[in-house]
Amino acid sequence: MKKIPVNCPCCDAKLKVSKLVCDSCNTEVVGKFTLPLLMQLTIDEQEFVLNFLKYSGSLKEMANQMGKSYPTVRNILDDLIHKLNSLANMNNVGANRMI
Amino acid sequence: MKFKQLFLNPFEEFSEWKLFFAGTIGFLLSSYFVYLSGEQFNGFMHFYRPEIAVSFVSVLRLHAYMVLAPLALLYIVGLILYAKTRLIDVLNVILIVPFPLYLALLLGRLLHQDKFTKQLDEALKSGDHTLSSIDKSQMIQFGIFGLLALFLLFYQFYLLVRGMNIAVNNKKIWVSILFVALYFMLDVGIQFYF
Repeated sequence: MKKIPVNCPCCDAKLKVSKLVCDSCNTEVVGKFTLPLLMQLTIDEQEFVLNFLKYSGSLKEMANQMGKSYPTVRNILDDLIHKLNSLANMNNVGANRMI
Repeated sequence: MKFKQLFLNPFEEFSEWKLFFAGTIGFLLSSYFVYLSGEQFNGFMHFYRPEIAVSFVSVLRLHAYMVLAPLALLYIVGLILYAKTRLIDVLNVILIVPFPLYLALLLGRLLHQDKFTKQLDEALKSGDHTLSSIDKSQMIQFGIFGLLALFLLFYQFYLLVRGMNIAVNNKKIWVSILFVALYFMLDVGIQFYF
């Protein structure tokens, strides 16, 4: 399965969804939709979030599985939280502008 | 990959207990080695030869102070910068960072550096300013050793920065410089005031 690009390959800006298609009746919905917050992360970051859920939020367990030290994994999580907060703020600013 | 990482950034991949174990072994071995060589710690990057022989316990105790002093300072600074800083991570940095220095010390002893320094001193005192009485191959050997020791000193600070950056999740260059400056100033302070 192809990976959905998150950033524009030309100017690196955030991409938006413009068309959704129903697989069974071929109905098409056209518009300008913002990607969900988690989908705006890179593939590695999305995998990290999935692993975080998989290991019930145990950073120690994740560190063992990833072959990294505990503070390294904790730092990745902290950076991810920071990035998610920034993305949420950016999305809010964008939504307010449209209003 | 792990082998390369062992030298480039051991704090990124190895668990805190592996690092603590390695650090403790290094701490004990280096204390014993300093005791055998008849020297004593004076700061964390400097040694001196006391007039009266010191016991192993005395070397061990002073070495423990040399670990506790930077540990207290860097842990407090770490907590100010990043509330999630853990004592074990800073302790591991403090225990692992002097490893290159221990290697330099060992090499210096194996090459009889003190004997060579004494020869140089005597030659200069006797007016031999061109050092013609000193064997040239020995001069080259100690020149190489000097460069290697300098590299190991820089490597020590590199490890300090790498380790502390992970312990306090730092990405700012000025904070890295602050760690080196604090470590260096504390060492100089201990050398002169204690």
